[in-house]
Order: sequence, then C-alpha cells, then structure tokens
Amino acid sequence: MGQGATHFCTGLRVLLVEDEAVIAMLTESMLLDLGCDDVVLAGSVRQALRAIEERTPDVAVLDVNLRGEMVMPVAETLAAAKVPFAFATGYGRHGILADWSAYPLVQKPFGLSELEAALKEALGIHPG
Amino acid sequence: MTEIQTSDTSLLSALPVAVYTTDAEGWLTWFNEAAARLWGRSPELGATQWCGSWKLYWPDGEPMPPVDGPLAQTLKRGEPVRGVEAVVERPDGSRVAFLPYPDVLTDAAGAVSGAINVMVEIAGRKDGEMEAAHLAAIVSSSDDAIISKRLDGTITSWNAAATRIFGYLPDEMIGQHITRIIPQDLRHEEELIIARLRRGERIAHFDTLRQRKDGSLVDISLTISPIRDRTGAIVGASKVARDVSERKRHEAMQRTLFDELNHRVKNTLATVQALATQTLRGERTLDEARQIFQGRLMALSATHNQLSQNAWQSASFGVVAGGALRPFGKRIDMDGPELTLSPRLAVTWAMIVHELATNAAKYGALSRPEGRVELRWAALPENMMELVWSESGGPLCVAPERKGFGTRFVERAAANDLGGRSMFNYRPSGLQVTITAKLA
Repeated sequence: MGQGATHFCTGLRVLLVEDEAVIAMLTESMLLDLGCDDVVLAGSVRQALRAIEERTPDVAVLDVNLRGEMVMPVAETLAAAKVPFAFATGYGRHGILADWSAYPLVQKPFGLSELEAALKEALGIHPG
Repeated sequence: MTEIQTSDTSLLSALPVAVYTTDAEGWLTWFNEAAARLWGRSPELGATQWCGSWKLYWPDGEPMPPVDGPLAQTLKRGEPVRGVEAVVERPDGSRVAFLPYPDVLTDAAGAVSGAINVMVEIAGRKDGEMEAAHLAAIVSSSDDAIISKRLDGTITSWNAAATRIFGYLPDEMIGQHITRIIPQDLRHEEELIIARLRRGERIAHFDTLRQRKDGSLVDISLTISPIRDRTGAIVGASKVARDVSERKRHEAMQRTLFDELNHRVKNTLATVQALATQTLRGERTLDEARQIFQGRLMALSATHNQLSQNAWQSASFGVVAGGALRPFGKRIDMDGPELTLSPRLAVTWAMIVHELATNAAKYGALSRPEGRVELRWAALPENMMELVWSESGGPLCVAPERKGFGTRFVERAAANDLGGRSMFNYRPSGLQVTITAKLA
C-alpha cells in the first residue's frame, strides 16, 4: 500500500461517513496512505452533522446508505458549505444519486487508487 | 297467389333464383336449374315430397324433417311461413344456408292446388353476420380495453374492460372526446397519435398513462389501428389499451430487489476486503494471517447462514454469538435472554464476539486449556442491550502497549455501528469487556 500514491491529503481534515467499522478502518488506513492523519469518523447522519458543526472538514467521503438511513442531509449540508466530497457506495449511480452527478462516486469495494481518483476529482486536482 | 300456368315455368326456369313447385300434397311437380344447383341433385318429380334437398337442417345444425319444413308448414297452415332459415346438405357433403319463401298456389276457384318455394342463398350474408357476432364476443370478453373513436376524437364504442380499467360506463363515454381519459400534461400525445393515424400508421405497444374516472393514473400499453370505410378512407381508430400497472409494479419491485442484492454483495465484498487487508497488516506470519482471516470469514459466513434461514429479516443474539464462537469450542459459557437483531446488527455482533474470542485465543483465557470465558447479555431500557465478556483462568492479564486490530475494531464497531460504547477492563485475573449498544 502507498506505493505510487501521492500525499495530497496531508494537512486535510477528512470526514469519513461510514456505518461499518471494519470498512471505515480500511478507508481510514487508505487515507493515511494518502497523507491524511486527521480523519473524523461518523457512523450516522446525526453523528456526521454534529462533526460538521464542530469543525467544517476540508473534504468528505460519504457512504450512501447508513443502516437504511440515506446520507443526503449530510451531502446537502456539505454542498451548502462548499465542502468537496465523494460518495462511496455499493449502489450504482441511479435513484437519488442521479441528482448528485456533480460529485464523484467510488464503487465499493474500492482500492487505494479508486479512492485517490475520487478524492482528487472532488478536490479539483487534475492528474498530470 | 294467382294460379301458376305451365307456360309460366319457362319464365321461372330462366331465373337465377332457386324455385320449385309441388302439388297440394307437397309432391314435387317442377324445379328450375338454380334449385338443382342449390340441392346439388335433380330429385325425381312426383316421387319427392316437400323439398328436393338430400338432407335438411335447422340453422343450429339439428336435422330438419321435410314435413316440418317451411313449405310443408305453409301447405298445412294455408298461409306462407316467413323468416325461417334452413340449411341444405348436398350429396357431396357441402352445406348451404338459405331463406325459403314458400307460398300456396290456388286454382281459379280459390282452392289450394299446390305450393311454390323460392330459396334465397344466404351463405355470404351469414358469414358476415357470424364474423361480426364473433368479433363482438371477443371485444366484450377481452381483458383489454377496446375503444373506437372517430378522427375528431369522439368515442364511438367502449367495451366492458374499458369500464373496468377506466371506471366510466359506456353511456358516460360514447359521444365524448377521448381526451377525457388523457391526463392534462399528456394531451399533446393525442395530436401525435391522430397525425400518425391519418398517415395510415399503426401504433403498437405505446406505453403511457391514462386517467381513471376517480382521477388516479393507470399505466397502459396502447395499440392503435386506423379504421377505414368501404372506400379505404381513414375515418377513425380502434384503440386497445392494456392495463400494465401490475407489470410496472413488478418491474419496479425487481429493480429494487436487484439494487438491494447488488448493494449487499458489494458491501459484503468491501467487508471481506477490509478484513483481509487488516489481517495481513496485523499478523506476524502469513500462516497466522491465513488462519485468522479464515476464522473471520467463517464468522461472517455463519451469520449469513442464520440470516438467510430467516429470510434475511432478523436473527437471535444467542444464535448469532453461538455461530461466531463455534470454532472456539465449549469453553465459552453463554447465557442471556432472547434478543432479536436486524441483519446489520447481527453481522456486526458476530464480528465483535469473534474478535473477542480471537484475542482471547491469542493472548487471553483461551490461550490456556484451563481458561474459561463467560458471555452474558441482557436487555437494557430504551431499546439498548449490554454484553459482558469475562475471561478467567488465563495468563496474568495486562493492558497491551499497542491495540491490535481486534480491540480497535470492537471499540469502533460499538461506537460506530452499534451506537453504543465499549469498556476494556484489564483485570489481572482476566479481561472483562462490557459493551452497551442499541438494539435497533
């Protein structure tokens, strides 16, 4: 892990919204590989909104379905605050996600390079 | 009727219509060529009574004895019998339907001297009527709404299925404009449909929406064909509307199920990916990693088995914990009330107890043959529950310098996945872990 990945996340506070601890832990370690050591974890919409209120993150990764609860209120809050973010989901881009086509989507399960590409797209960092 | 003279028969012979005469007793005295063609035979005069046909039937196919035939009845009653149809069968087996016009013949004194019968073939007419009757039966018994309209949109027919699907009776719709069942925002469809019909096009399986009498919308599939008059000019359209709301519902449900299945599979793969990565990172040797990864995968799989036995609705806490702990044998004593878990919580709990047991086998009570674990759980108020994991009989227990994957996972999962918290109490006699968690 880490080989080839750039440390473009260094110094960024990342909000990770994910309701499954084991997946959150993996994503967190991937974010570490991308240079990020300030990850705020939230397992529900309520936790995520509280975390944003406490301190606005620089970028976010949002799981779409949190134990049957849709992450959209978090997406709306972030969009209003102009915080870039990417969706991470096992669902394809249809249904509710169709309205959010401006935001990148990374399909679960994903590897480091997929997460890196989605975050770079969200942050407007273009390769090369 | 006036008396018929022998000389008149030459005139009748020339007629293209079948005609024959009998005497007062009904014995054939004369027939023309057209009659012979209709019967398919030339009966012997004076030896054939009532009718020259080989066989005669009622319209329903029942045999008609000649004595009951129209000419016999006419002679018997002394007045013409009208409106009776009959079917003649020729010796070659072919059948022809005809309308007989029998009448009595009288002599100069007014006495009945015989009878004349004119037989008009109705085969062609009959077929047309049958066809119309057939079509009417099909239309009225169809499950699809069948509606005809003029090119200006005025409805001219409305079958029973149309009433069932749209809620309007024929009386409410015949003479009305078709737009009555077209939702406001789809009215432009009608113009397009009419334009295509005028070009003689048929419109097949056009999926759209129509409005019922109660205002609700119904998904339908339309097939529209032009109706032409005798000259071939398009004068209207027939619409067949199939109610496809059931099909649409079914399709939507399938899509939802497919999405859900896809989501579950992807999530499970992501979980397995995370477990594999964490295991490979955390363990000292590849062999150890392989063994531990297999154990984690089996715990996940056991829970999936239990959930699928219950139609993926729920699982009982005791069954889930028992399944995840099976590889660790009977040294774990479990007790607690019946608690029902959602699929998501069941998977998380299975992984938690499995990690606790894995740690115990590596560092704690289960690393010694005499070590024991007590697992207790209970329901708490406000839809919460508590689990207490108590180890004993193991090596001297001390807090680790660095938390491994298992411990970090249990802490995270309790807070994140279960909306609760965990407490690790490293008592010298053995580790005690207390987890409080939401039950839903």
